[in-house]
Amino acid sequence: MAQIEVRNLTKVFTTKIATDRPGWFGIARKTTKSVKAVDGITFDVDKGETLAFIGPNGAGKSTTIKMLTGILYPTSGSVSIIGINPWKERQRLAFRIGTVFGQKSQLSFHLPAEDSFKLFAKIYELDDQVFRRRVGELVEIFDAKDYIKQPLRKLSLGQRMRCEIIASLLHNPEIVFLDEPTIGLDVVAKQELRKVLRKLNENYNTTIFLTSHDTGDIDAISDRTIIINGGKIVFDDSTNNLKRKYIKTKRIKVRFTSAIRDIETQNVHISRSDHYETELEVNTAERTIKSVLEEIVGKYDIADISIEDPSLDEIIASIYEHNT
Amino acid sequence: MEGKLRNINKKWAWIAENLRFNFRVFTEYKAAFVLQSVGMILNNAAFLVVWYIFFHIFGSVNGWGFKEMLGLDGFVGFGYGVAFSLTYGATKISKMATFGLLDRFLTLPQNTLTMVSLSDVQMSAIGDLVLGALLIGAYVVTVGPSFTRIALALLFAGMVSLVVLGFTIVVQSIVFWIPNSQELSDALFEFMLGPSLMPNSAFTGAMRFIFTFIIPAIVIGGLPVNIILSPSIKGLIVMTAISLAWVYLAQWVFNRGLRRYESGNLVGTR
Ligand SMILES: Nc1ncnc2c1ncn2[C@@H]1O[C@H](COP(=O)(O)OP(=O)(O)OP(=O)(O)O)[C@@H](O)[C@H]1O
Ligand SMILES: [Mg+2]
Repeated sequence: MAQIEVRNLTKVFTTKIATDRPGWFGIARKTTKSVKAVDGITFDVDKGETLAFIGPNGAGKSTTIKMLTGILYPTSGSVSIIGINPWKERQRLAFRIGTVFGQKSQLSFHLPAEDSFKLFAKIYELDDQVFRRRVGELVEIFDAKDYIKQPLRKLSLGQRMRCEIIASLLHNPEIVFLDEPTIGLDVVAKQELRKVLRKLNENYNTTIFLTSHDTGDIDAISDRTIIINGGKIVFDDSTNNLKRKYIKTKRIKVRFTSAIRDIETQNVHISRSDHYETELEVNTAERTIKSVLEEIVGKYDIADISIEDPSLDEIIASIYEHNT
Repeated sequence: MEGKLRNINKKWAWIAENLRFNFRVFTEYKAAFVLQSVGMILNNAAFLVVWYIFFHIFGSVNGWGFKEMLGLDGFVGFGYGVAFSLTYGATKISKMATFGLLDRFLTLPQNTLTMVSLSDVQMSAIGDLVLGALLIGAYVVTVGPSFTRIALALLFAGMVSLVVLGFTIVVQSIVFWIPNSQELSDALFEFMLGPSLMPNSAFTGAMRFIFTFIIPAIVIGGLPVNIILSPSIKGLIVMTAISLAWVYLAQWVFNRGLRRYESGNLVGTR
């Protein structure tokens, strides 16, 4: 039996909205509008897997995580996490999983994270010794010793997020669900957070289920990727296969110190260009990034250069293209 | 035996830790706490002065005089004080549900309603709690302290707190069925609190029934005052039954509501 089993999971939100037509006594008529936030998704996750659950805004990522952790009742379908039905035995499940919401804090804003940890330890019914040892380990992994003693309101977003994640791991959960943990972080903080999550998986074999709309998270953390769009799963395979099939191109943005007439390179698609800036799309199957960079740096005076993956929207577009 | 005790301790230790935690939060803002508490006590004292003058001029009304008002203000104040200081989180259920802030309790492994209730404290209500306790004491002393009366007063102080808390949770939970109903919940709460401070003799017939069994205004003040004055088993049973009923009703309504919780995506911190 897989650790996480999801079958035909669906969530429909129904909201009342006022219409323009006035009804009796001038009270606005109400109609209901239904949104299928998650639309019949099915998948399994095994123990120790690292899974990125990605999709554009409004795709249904948070709604899915909320159903898996028992926060939301689904409209239909079934879920089993470690053999537990999340909405029937939410509290029992909570002893065994950890949850982090990038946009909703678990910790008190007024007090140091350390104080919140102590409270969580009691809520999770941990022995003092076990708790102290565990905090020690986590603080080391997350390199958080310097700031768990400061009131949360004085920390940077990246530091706060580490504290949030430590809090979710105090009871040594078998699975940790993270909803957009890297949101709002700068590039460096993002990289560091990805590194520690990877380490967490390696050290404790903790299953990591992470949502994001940042393609960068996939590469760094997850062996497997599920892409969800409009509530439906459009891709579910190893991250390597995703890259091999759909992330074949890299985008190189170059800014020149002086105006140039025309950029000339072989086997590279020029997607945008003016005299000072140009954007190149490199198909890595045809040419290595290294050779393109060497050529450009050799030929022109460069002011700035950056390399990016294609955006999630582009990847999804090419998946649809491929499937039809 | 010892192992069992340790298990029970482990199961409940978090509540003590939670109260300690809340206390730490408000010692961060100590000055504000003292100021607000004093303000609240003055407010209550002014209320009593008005009744003192009233009964001084008109004498007692249907057997209710100033000493009964002491007891009444004592119980209502204490119950309100406990519910709105220690379990202040319960008064914010409506708001938390609207902004999707219940998530963080739903992923923790203890009773959700208890965690939500203990998630916040209001400093000013500590003043009500302290003054309430003093007034209950004063009432028992003036009617003539006995073992029965003291025991009943202690018991009723706890029950009244549970009823105020239970009623608060029920009216706050309306939000799960009627979105943005914060004002309705507040109005309903006032609909209990306002009448609860009126002399017992103000309620007769159907009104007495409604304000006992539907809106527990009399239960949190007038009823315990009367039972302490002339103690009876029947009175004790009625008080116990009504307060347990509110505890169960609160838990039931809240759990039902949670199934309808939609967890909106608004940004928020504690
Ligand atoms: N409480 C709610 N009530 C009504 N509609 C909702 C609610 N929560 C989500 N939705 C709708 O369901 C859809 C999926 O939302 P969800 O929050 O799961 O997306 P997401 O993939 O997490 O997006 P994001 O990247 O923006 O966080 C959206 O269309 C959203 O508007
Ligand atoms: Mg989301």
